[in-house]
Amino acid sequence: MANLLEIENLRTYFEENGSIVRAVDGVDLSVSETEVVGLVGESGSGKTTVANSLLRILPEAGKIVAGRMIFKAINIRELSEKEMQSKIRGTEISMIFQDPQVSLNPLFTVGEQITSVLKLHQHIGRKEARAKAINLFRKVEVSDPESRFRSYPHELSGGMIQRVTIAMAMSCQPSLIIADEPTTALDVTIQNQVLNEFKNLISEIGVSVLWITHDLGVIKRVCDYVNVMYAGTLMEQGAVETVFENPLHPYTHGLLGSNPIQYRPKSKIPTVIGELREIPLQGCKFYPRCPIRNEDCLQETINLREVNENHRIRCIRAEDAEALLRSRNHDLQGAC
Amino acid sequence: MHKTTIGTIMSRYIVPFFAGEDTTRWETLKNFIKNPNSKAGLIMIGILTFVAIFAPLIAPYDPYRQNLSESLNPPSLTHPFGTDLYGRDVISRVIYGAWIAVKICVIGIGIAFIIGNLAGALSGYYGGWIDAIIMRIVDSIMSFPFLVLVIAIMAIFGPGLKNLYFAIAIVSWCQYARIVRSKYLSEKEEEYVRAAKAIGFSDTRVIFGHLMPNSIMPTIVYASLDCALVILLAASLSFIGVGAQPPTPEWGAQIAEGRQFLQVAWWVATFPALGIMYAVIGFSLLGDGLRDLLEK
Repeated sequence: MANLLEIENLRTYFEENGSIVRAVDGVDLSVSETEVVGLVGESGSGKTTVANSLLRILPEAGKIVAGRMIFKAINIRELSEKEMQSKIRGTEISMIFQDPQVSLNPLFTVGEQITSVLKLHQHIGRKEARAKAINLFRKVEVSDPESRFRSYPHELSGGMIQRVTIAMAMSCQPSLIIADEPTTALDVTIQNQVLNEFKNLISEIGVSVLWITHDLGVIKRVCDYVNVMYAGTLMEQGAVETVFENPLHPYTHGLLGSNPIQYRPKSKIPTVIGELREIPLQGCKFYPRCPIRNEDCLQETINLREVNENHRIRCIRAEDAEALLRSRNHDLQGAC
Repeated sequence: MHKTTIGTIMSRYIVPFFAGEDTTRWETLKNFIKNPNSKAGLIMIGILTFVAIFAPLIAPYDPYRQNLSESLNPPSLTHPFGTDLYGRDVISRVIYGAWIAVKICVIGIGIAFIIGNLAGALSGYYGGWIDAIIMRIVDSIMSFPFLVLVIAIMAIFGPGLKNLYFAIAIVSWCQYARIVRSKYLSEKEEEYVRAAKAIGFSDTRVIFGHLMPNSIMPTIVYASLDCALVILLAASLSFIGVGAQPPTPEWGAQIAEGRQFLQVAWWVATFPALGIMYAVIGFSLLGDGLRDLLEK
C-alpha cells in the first residue's frame, strides 16, 4: 500500500511569554491509503497539535519549526496559505472536531453551512448543493434530513450534529479525514451508534482516517494501526493487534492496564502514576513516571527502534523489563 | 473578492430573511417588536423617519420663506408653533429639522459604523502590527475630548452640514472599532472559526461570513444609542455656530436663534428643543430594546 501521508520529524512549538512549549517534539507517522490510523495519548500529549499542524490551523503562538509532512508527494509545510485553502483544506484533508456543538457557526442553519462548503469547493449552484447535502445527510443517517436541513446547531442533539459534521467533512470527497476525538463529547450509547456508522462509512467510501482519541477501546474497534503519543513524541507504534496483544513500552502497558472493563466492580484500578508535567530535557520523556526506569534512560536521546516487523518503540529497557512488567501486571491479561 | 463578499451577504442574510424560509429569525423579530422598550422606540423613530422623509408634504409652509410682518407671532391656528424673528413658520422648520437629524444619523453613524466594523475586524482578527497601527490611531483620536476634536475638525473644514457628517464619522468610528475588536478577539478563538478555516474558507470569508454576523450585534445596539448622542452633538455644534449655518433649519441652530428672545418668544427655541428630546428618547428606547434582545 502506498503511503498517502508521511509525517517526518514534525516539531511544533508554542512560544508563550518567552518560554517555549514543545507540544509536538519529533513525530514520525504515516497513513496509507484506506487505512485508519489511531493516535492515542492523554490530554496535553500533543495529539490535536499534530492535527492542527497538518492543516496549518495552529493558534497564533504555535509554529511548525521542523519536519516534513508529505501528502500525495507534496510537502504541506511548503504550500502557500492560498494553496492550502484551495488544494488541501476541505478538499483533500478535512477534519472532524471534538465538540460538534461549538464547531458549527451558531448563527446559520446546518443546511446553509454544508451547502456553503459544497459551493465553495465544487462550484455548484444553490439547488444542486442542497440536493447533494440532503443526500449526504441521508448517508450519515441524519433522521428526517429535509427538515434537519433548516435547523440551527443548537436545535439538534449531540449525536445528530456530529453526524452533520461528519457529513460536512466528507462532503467534498477528501482523501484523508482527521477525526479529532469525534465521539468524546457524546454520551455512551450515541457514541456507539456514531462510531459504528462512521466505521461503516469509512470502509464504504474508502477514505483514510487519522483518528485522534484517548480512548483505547475506540482505537481497538476502528483502527488498523496505532501510534501511542506521550509528551509530544511517539512512544510506540504498530498494528493494532500487535500493540494490544503485546505492548512493549511501559506507558502503553500502563494505559492498557488502566482500562476498567477488565476489573471487578469496586476493585482498585492500576493507573499510570504521576502526571504529564515534568519532562526531562534529555533522554526518555516518560522517565519520571516509568516503573522500570534506571539511570541509562536519561543518558542520551532515545530513538524509535523496530522491535518486530511493523512494531516500533521508544524505550531502551523494554526487553529487560518485560518479565518485570509481566509479573507486575499479571492480572491484566486480555486487556480491553 | 468583493463580489463574493456581496454575494455572501445577499445569499446569507438578505435572501433567506425575506424568502421567509427561516422561522427562527422571524421569531427573533417578533420578540423584538413585543418588547415594550423597543416597541415604543420603533414607533417614535418610525414617526420621526416618516416625518423626515415626507417633510415637504407635511410641512405647512416653506421653512425658508420670510415674512417680516408676522415676526415672532405666538402659536396660533395658522402657525401652530408660532413664527420666528423673520416670520418663518416654526413647525415647518422643526419638521425639516427632523430630516436633517435623520440625515446626520444615517450618514454620520453609517460611515462610522462601516469604518469601525472594518477596522475592528482587521485589528482583532489579524492582530500584530495591523492591530498596533489601527489601535494607535484610535487611541490618538480618543485622547482628545470629543467635542474639542469635532470643533477643531469643523474649524479646519469650515462649517456646514456636509462637513458635520464627516466630522462626526471621524470621531465616532473609534468606539465601533474597539467594540468589534474585543468581540473578534474572543470570538476568533471559538472552535467554529477553526473549523471554518479547516474546511477551506479564506480569511475574507471567515471574517465576513463567519465572524462578522457573530460580532455585529453589539455595534448595532451601540449605533442606535449613538444616534441619540450624535443628534445632541450636532445640535450643540450648530448651537455654538460651527455646525449647520443659518438659515438651515437645524434644531440646534434654531435654538441658538431663539435663545436671545426666550423671554418674549419662548416658542422659537422650545419646539426645536422638544424635537431633539423626542429623537433622543426614541433612539435610547430603541437601543435599550436591542440590548435586551442581545442579552437574551
